Amino acid sequence: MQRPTHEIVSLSERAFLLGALAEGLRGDGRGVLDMRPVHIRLGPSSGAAEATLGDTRALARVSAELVEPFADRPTEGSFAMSVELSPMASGAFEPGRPSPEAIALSRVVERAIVKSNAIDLEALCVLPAKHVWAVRCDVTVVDHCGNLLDVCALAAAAALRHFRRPYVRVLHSEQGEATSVEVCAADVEEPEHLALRHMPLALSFALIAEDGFSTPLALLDGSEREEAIASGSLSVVLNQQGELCALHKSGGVPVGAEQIRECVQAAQLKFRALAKALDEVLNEAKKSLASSAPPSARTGEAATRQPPSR
Amino acid sequence: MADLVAVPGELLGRREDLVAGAGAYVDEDGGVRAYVVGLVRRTPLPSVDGRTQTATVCVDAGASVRASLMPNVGEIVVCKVVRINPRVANVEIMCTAGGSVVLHEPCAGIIRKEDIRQFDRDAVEMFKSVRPGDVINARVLSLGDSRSYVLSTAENELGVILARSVSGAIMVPLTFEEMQCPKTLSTEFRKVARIRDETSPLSQ
Amino acid sequence: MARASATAPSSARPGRHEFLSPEGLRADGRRQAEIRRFICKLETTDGRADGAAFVAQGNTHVAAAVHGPQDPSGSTRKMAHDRAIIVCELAMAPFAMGEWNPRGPSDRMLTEIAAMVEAVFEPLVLTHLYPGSQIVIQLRVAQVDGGLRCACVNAATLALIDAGVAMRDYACACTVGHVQGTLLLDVSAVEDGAGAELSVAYLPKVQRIALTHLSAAIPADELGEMLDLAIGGCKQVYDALDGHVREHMRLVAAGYGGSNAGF
Repeated sequence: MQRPTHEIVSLSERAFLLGALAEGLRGDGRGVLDMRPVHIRLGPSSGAAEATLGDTRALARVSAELVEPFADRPTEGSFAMSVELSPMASGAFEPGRPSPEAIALSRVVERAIVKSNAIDLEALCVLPAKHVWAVRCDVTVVDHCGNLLDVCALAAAAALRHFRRPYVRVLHSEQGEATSVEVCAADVEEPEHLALRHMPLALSFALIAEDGFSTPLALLDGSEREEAIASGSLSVVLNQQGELCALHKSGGVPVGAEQIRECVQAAQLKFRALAKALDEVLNEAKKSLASSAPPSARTGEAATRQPPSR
Repeated sequence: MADLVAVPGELLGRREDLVAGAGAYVDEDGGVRAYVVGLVRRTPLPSVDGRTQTATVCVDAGASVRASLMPNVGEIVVCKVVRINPRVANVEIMCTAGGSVVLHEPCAGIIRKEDIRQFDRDAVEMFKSVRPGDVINARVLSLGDSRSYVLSTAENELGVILARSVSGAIMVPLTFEEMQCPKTLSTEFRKVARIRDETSPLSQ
Repeated sequence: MARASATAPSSARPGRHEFLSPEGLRADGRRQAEIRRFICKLETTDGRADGAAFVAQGNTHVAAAVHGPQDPSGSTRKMAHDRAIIVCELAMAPFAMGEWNPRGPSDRMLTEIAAMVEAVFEPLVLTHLYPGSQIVIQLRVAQVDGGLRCACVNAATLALIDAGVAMRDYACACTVGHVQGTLLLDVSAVEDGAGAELSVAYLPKVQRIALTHLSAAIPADELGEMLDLAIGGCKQVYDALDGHVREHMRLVAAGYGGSNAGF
């Protein structure tokens, strides 16, 4: 693994961390399968979310735009994801082109969402071959204290479930043909949530092996120091339907098949707690939305709450 | 080859009985394994305390076998001409050690025009000495640069030993400068090698 | 080495929308747990690379060349004083995936796979034996029909062995597909597109897994079975790779004795 020069770990710190792990202690006192505290905050606008795992923090922003569909898929919308590793998150990140690490992160999360058909792309179709929604999720990591993948996936999941796109009215000509579409403002028609079949969440393990090759110890939700001495990582992406959406072990210290199964089982247990935390926050937001005034009475608030649309 | 061939990861023994030499490493369970492809050589060590008998195991990487196949300076090599230009002929070396060792993979060589023959070296016309497709005997002058060996055919026994005429037939040597096509009876110029063979019309 | 059963009657092959016929045959005549025709060759370039190999898994063709250990070029920022760094460059022909798509070196998929190859071999190569150097693995993909990551890993393994780079073990890779509820070994692109593909790279001697990559969702409780099937496929790949390496070594060693080694 090409580690950025910023994450230099001194020999004595490395020896300390490894020695503590040999006695079953992690740097911050957690157990081997304990996650750091999870906080999710849904932004003022729909589709904005912030997720933190310990001190690692990422912001996700979902937006949607009406575009022409691809010629070979006239009834499907599209979804794209990008992950930006902001230089304010860590000295190792440089502004400009996404590094291979950023590309890998965004591809893993995008693949887990798209390939598992989490978002119903056909439901994004407004007028076949003319207008479909192109949904984008942009994640920015603002603080890197380990385990970027899980935090990005969590922020993206929260933002996607929170996001509501404007209601679109299809206008018909006198003959009954659909001619054009009209995007309705939020105070005219209630915006709609995306049609999501499920929403996957990621749980990653840092694999620590003293010499880089012997059978490693798998630590759930590795901190930055733990990742700096790790020789590999294993990420498990699950959803509530009991599906494994991604099993991402991209090289690194090899593990036995049995250890992979154990990690997946541990991830399944922890997934429930994580999903519950997310559900609670989303239900809170829904309640506060329902308790606020009905759409017709909204005035100034509508302007800030509309997602960008064309 | 009666020796055992080992491949990377192959278990050669236990740490208690063997010392890992070049080409072998010790894994986390105490097994001694090879890390390159090669022949396994065990050298017994004198037992220190009179009880345990250990050996050092080395895996002799194939590269060293391949290295000894490379042509050395002064050897006669058999080559096939690939490309010519007025100054230099590019050849592919196929056999070394006088033709007795066939190379597993051909190397590149060049013959400068001054090294084609001994007399009148500057007036050599490459097209009348060797042509692409000819098989020649040459001597290695030097290891040259990283790209090709430097060869010479400036001896009586060196030069073209097999050539095809423009019509595709294998030509018969007439003199040390000419070869004749048996089909069309036309002659072409080559720098012909003197082969020590009683049946050849050239060995007198 | 498994071969596609070309003599299976077409009526026993699956219909248009199924991938495993009731007789147990797939679209190309293979059984459920058969890998595709596996061809591998060592030393395929003109000798300019330190090691070279070519792997064809079915219709997926990948050529690999290894340069090194050599002085680190370009970004010395990446150099490590106590070990070698592994650099992988992956290029794909524009016609490789069927539709013309010229991918530049900054293409996201190629970058990801190249980083994956580097990460697979970084713990596998005994890098501490070559401090301050770099080992460059160049992969050229001519054709893709499923299992691209696996073919890249297999080709890189052979090329590293050919270059004589110290490695703890082979890395053998194979895919398992989860298509319409059935598990199929070594899936082609068509089978992969219809379901999920799990790529696994396995180290046969130390018996551990170096890489897993899932392309789509699968039921979590079927993972164990898929891993077992994938490991079985990797072992078949290992037999093919190892057989070829030993045969090649025998030919090279025989050439030293003066007989016609040939190729």
